[in-house]
Amino acid sequence: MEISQRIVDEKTCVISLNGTLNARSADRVKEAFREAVGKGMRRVVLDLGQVPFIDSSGLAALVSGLKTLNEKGGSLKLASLQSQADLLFKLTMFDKVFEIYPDADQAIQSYTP
Amino acid sequence: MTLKAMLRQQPEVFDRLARHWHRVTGAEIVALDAAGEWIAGSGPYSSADSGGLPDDWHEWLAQASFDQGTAIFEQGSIRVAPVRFQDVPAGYLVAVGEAPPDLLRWSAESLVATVAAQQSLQDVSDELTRVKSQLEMVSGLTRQLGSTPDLVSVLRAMLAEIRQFFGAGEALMILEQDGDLTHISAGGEDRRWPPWRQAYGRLQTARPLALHNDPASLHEFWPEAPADLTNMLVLCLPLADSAQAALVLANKEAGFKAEDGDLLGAASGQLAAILDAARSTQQMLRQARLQREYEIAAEIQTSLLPRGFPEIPGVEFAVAALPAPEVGGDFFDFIPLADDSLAIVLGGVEARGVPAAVMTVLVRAIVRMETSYGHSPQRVVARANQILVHDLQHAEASVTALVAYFDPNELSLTYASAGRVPGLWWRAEKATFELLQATAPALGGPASDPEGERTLQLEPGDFVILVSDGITQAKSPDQQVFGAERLGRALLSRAGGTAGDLVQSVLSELRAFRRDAPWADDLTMVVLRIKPSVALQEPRPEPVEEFALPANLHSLESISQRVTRVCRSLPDLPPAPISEDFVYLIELAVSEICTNLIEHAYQMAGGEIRGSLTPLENGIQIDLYDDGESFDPAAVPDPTLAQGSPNEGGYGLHIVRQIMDKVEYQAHTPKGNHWRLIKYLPSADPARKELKRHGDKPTDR
Repeated sequence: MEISQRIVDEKTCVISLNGTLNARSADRVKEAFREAVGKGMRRVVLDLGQVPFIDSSGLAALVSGLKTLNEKGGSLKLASLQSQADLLFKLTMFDKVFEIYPDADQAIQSYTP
Repeated sequence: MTLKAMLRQQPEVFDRLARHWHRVTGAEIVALDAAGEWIAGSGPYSSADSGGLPDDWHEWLAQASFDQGTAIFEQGSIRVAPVRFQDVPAGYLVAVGEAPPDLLRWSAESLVATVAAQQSLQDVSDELTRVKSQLEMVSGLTRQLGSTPDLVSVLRAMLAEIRQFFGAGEALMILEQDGDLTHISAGGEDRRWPPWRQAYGRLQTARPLALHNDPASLHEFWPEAPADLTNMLVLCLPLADSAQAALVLANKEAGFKAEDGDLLGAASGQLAAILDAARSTQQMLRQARLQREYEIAAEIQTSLLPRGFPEIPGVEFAVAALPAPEVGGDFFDFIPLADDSLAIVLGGVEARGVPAAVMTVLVRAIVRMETSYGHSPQRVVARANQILVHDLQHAEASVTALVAYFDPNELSLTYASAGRVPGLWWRAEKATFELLQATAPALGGPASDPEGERTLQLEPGDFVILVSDGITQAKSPDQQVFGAERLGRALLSRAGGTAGDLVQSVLSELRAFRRDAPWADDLTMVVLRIKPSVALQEPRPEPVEEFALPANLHSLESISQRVTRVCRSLPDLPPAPISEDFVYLIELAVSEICTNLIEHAYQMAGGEIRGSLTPLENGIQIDLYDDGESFDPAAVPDPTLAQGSPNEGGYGLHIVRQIMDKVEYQAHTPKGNHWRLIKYLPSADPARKELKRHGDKPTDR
């Protein structure tokens, strides 16, 4: 699992994951959320365009990120879900929990009124 | 079994090895589990956090190649030998310091052999202990019930009172019930009374009362009476259910008076009532005790009946086991054997009630033990005979037992039968029955012939039915016997039916035949049926991929790769993107189960995940095994997904149940805790709506 971060402004960033999101990589993703919040980020877009596989441990990491941000008054939005990840979100009804956008740019735009 | 589990059970085996190792090589030795975690070690390595092993230990071990199974991996002064148990990696043995590689390899092998030998010894003694403690329970409870006061001591106390009251030197009571004479005396204890039966007949004529105050008339009345009897008062007491008692008072110093006779005569009604009450209490106690014994014995027998049927593709089983109203002596058993074969055991003990029940427990345990040694059916029967012959001759009991090994790959049934266990083989092609013959005398007789076993080559559509004597010997109200022929006729009309149909048709024929005749015997039957060729033309599904991997999160990806590879090679896989969703869902389900095994069953402490992937005609079957903690799947609730505050975990199993068509879990199978997941191909079941890509959640099945 590779994790990279693109800073948009002092409160907004895009975190991109590359690889499988399962129990093995879940902790590192949670850590990435905590780090971003620690640096003052409040609007986080998670780009899942390079994540072919997510399981329930991966979902748990996303929920953890959502909670971390919500506690600070921030928000987490997801972008570029691959088709299989999309299936999982529907299966678990997590598509009702997260705001999901076709790509990261549209997710960022949604922050600007 | 993992090395960790072995050494937890028998830590002394490693200690002994380490001691010898140090003495011979001067070096140290460490045991690691399959994930490379420390289990035990000698010298400076005797605790988990001891240093000395390289820091990059795990990666180093992961790279090590043990293709040959027994190859030694060396780096610097460290040598590693893999430990394999029944051909599955169980852990590693590591030598630190100069040591010959061959010795290390040999140590790894002998470590496993030692543990395995002690384990199988333990299994056998566990079985014996179980049987023994059940027998002890029966006899203990019976003893307790037996300690209630008995009729004789009640009567003796009564008699002593009467003797004292009348001032007689001696008192005697003769009780006849169910054709048995009992005598109880008070005073003059050393006296040998003359033969009772004659005396009793004569005393009976004295009904209700006779009084003799001079020895001459006394001996005229009772010629066998002891010579020193000088006087006597006799009272006969008619009791309920045609039992009778006589009360004799003798040798009163002053002689008996007429008033004594009047008094005793007047009390006769009350005496008889007391006697009757004491007798019926006694009878109730005896009955209660018997009833309890029956209940206990029935409990034991029920607890030993096999739970569930063996599952063999292409083969059906059906069983009917109706115990007699009391306790019968039938037993049957299914025992899985090492090579996929199945032992089927059916027999009966001739001797009813508790001793028969105890004997069935014993025979069953012996057969189980002997089959576990891998003996042939004939040898199992011969060994059982050797073990039992002494006890059986003593108990005057006779035991019939049929032991059959069914080989599902060859469709062959090899059996040996001590005494005749009625059995029929239906040969579908010829549409005839063949009788299964006894191959040896009933157990408890002379040793059986070593050649005495038969093999039936079964074909699709064939079935074999084994029944207990209770069925073939069942009697109609007009004393006709059911017999093997009638059994065959009952089966003939349903010969193409399922195993369950066959059992039902025998039961209904039997009901019609017996009408209202009392039901006296156990009825037991076992049917094994080879499904007709339609099902058999399908080759038995074979796994195409098997793996045994350390139970850590690193293995998840490797398991996923195997799953996707096998899924993508399924012959009837529909085109993308449906296929991609199918493959992903299976990968997801397997990932969920494996994550659960690693995090919960093994508590992240390592261990091993074994699995096999089997393409089915219209889907895929995944079997996963672990040796960790078992759990109750029903106790895992479905997570509730409250909007806005979702849980962070607990979705795994819920997801698996949604995705897969079949999710089964069985704890503690011989291969470990077992998960079986099956998913059918989307095209294979047109009635089923495949998960819609942009639809709602699928219906829970």
